[in-house]
Parts: sequence; structure tokens; C-alpha cells
Amino acid sequence: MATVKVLLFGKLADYAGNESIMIDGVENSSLLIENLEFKFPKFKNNIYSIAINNKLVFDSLKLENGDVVALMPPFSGG
Amino acid sequence: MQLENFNRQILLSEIGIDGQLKLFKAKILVIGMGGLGCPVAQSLVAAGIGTIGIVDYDIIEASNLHRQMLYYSDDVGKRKIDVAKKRLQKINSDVRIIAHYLKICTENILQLIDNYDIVIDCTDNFNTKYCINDACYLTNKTLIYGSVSQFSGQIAVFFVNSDDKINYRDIFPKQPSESEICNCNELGVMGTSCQIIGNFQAMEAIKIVLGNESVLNNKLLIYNTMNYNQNVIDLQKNPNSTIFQPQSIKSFLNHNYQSNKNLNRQFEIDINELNNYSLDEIQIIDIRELDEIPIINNDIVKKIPQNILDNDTLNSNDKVKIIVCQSGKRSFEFVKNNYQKTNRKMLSLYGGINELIHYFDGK
Repeated sequence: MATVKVLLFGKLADYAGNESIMIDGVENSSLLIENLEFKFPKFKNNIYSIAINNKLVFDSLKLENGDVVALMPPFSGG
Repeated sequence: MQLENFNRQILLSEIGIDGQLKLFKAKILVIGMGGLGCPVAQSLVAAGIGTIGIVDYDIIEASNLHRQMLYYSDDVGKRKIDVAKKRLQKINSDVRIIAHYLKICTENILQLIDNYDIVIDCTDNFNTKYCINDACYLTNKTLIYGSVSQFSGQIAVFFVNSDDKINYRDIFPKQPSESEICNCNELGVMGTSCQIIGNFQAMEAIKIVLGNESVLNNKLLIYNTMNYNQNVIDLQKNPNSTIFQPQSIKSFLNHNYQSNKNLNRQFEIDINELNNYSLDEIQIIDIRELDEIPIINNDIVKKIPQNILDNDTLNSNDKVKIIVCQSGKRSFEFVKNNYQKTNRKMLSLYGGINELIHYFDGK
């Protein structure tokens, strides 16, 4: 079980009321997302990509203490 | 172009006379002359990029002026592309500025980007962003992507001529529908943030022309101009990226980038569908207040503010009433709320007054 830092961008940060939150006791990234979508149900209606330690990821990966997980929605303004 | 005018940047060892000559020779296309496109084009013209194409299909609105600093208050109602070209040319009359008054689509983009070395995406909607991305992907054209939201921006460089052809669809494979996203109109955007993010895009373009290695190649920079937090994300090939992406020119030409428009068929019509009606079959009614700009002055459009538009007018003849407001939202609400009380022959024009101007341009 790891303690990780979650970085939130765009609307996700608005929903959570913070741009970064600490989450304890998570095993892997898919369980972390489940946990976040339970805490902030509005996340479910949003598209976002995930990066772990500044690397874009597509599968669920095991998380280690101190990992930084970024949830990045697309921006479309110009 | 006069080399001595660029003396201050030629002094930089990364540029020098050789670098400046490269900038003179470069041909860069800026798509979208809004919050990002204005600073991008201004900086590239000032830096002495030899040929700059600018693309836009919008008119200047008062709500643009806080972030689109090429335009002044007395330009409201004019075409962005005309004003932008005039102002940019004043910065440097030797730069070749080519104005493309175009709405980007699959039919015109391939020919357009063929004339340029680098494409810079400064657009404000996913339909166009995905169309640009896929066109550059298929033709191996270098693309500098940029977007803003609130105080933050995203910038990436896709050198799609590299083997793995990493592109925007590796980050977000499927084009979001309009209900899944918000743009500046709803979320808001800070003008100074657009200037910063736009200049990051211009900086990437200059570095690419110079052959500098420190570009955001296959990286996504997320930059928060409020607290200066930044993250540089290493991108990698997404196994799902090609599922939704046209893999040939033929499938690209048949791909519908507008399909995610959330049109309510009962109450709304878009400009393509409007073109199926002859002018005899429709009555266009502008329900905005009389002082709202741009003002459309022709005999075809009746101007009746919504608070005085009554059911008798709406039922007066058999023509389909096309209700128009500034953005398409007020007119949608109006049609929805009054539909049952009328002969049900009315539709709200999707996209509002801008779309109506394009409709008349096409006539």
C-alpha cells in the first residue's frame, strides 16, 4: 500500500477544490482512480488521461510511496 | 528583410546570422487567430519568419478584445483575418503574410498545410483540433499543439515524421463530444495566460526552425500561469490511438469531425442543414437586443428582440422561422419554451450570429 500525490488539472481541480491531494493506502493506479471517482463523483463524467511520475500511462500500474499521479483533462480553449 | 533589424536576436549564439537566415526562409501556418493565434503570429512576424499563413473564419467580437490584442474596439464586426493581416504587416512589411479566410475541414486542410513547414494549432474547439492533428499525422507535418483553459495551458510538439508518429490521439484517442468538455465560453480564460501559452508555441516554432534540440518533442507541457506550476509529461504510443483515427487519406476525407456536435434535432438546425432550404422557405428572426453587435443589416433578417416577439408573428405564415441569437443558447431556450404554443415551425440556429454571417457569406 502506497501514499501517492495526485495532481489535478482543469475542471478536475475545481471539483476536488484543490490542485494536489495526498491519497493513502492505494495499491495500483486503477484502484486509485476508483477511489477518486468515489470521492469526487463528477470525475466520472470527464475525460482525462493519466501520467505517473510524468510519464503517460495506459494500463493499471503498481504504485510506490511517493509516486506522483497526474489526471489530465483535454483543454480546448484558444 | 534587413538583417540589422534583428541585431538583438542575432547576437544570441543560438541564433546568429545563420539562424536568422533560417527564420527568413521558414514558412509557418497559424490556424486560429484568437487568444493563442494573435500572440503566436505577432511574435513570429516580429522574429522575422519569412512566410506566415493565418487562418480564421470568425468575426471580431467585443468579448475577444481582452485577450486578442491584434484587434481594437472599433474592429468589432470585422473579419479577424483582414484586421490581423493589416496589423501584422505593420510590424514588418517584409514578412509575407498570407490570409486564409477558411473554416478548416477535411476538404481544404491537406492542400493548405502542404505549403508550410510547420503547423501551429491555435484553434478553440475539438472538431478542428482533431482534424488538424489527423491531417498532420497523415502527411508527416510537424504540428505545434496548444490550448488554454482558465489560467492554464497545454503545449506539445508532434514531430510526426518520427517512426512512432506520436500525436494528440496518443494522449486523448477519441474526440470528445461537446457535452464532455467546456471551452472558454463556459469556463473562462485569462488574456495574459493566452499571451504566455501562445508565446510558448511561438518559441517552439522558432526552436524547430533553428534546429534546436530542446523542443517539446513528444512531450506535453502543462503550465499554470497563476502559480507557475509546470509538468512536462513524456508521451508514448497509446495502443488505442489508431482505433478512432483515419489511417489513410481516403478515410480522412470521409471522416466526420462535426459528428460530435450535440444538435437537438427537434429544436436546432445547423448551417449545413439551413443551406438545404431556399430563402423563400424560411424567415430568419434575430431575437437579440437591438444594440447587440454585430448588427446584420439586410432585408432577409427580421430583428425582433425576444421580449416583444409574439406568437402571432411566429404563426404568421408557413415559412420555417429560424431563430438566431448571439451564441445559439438564448435562441435554443426560446424555441424550446415556445414550441408548443406555435405552429411548431421554428428552429434555433446552432452557433448563433457567427454562423449566420457565414451563411450569408456562402450566398
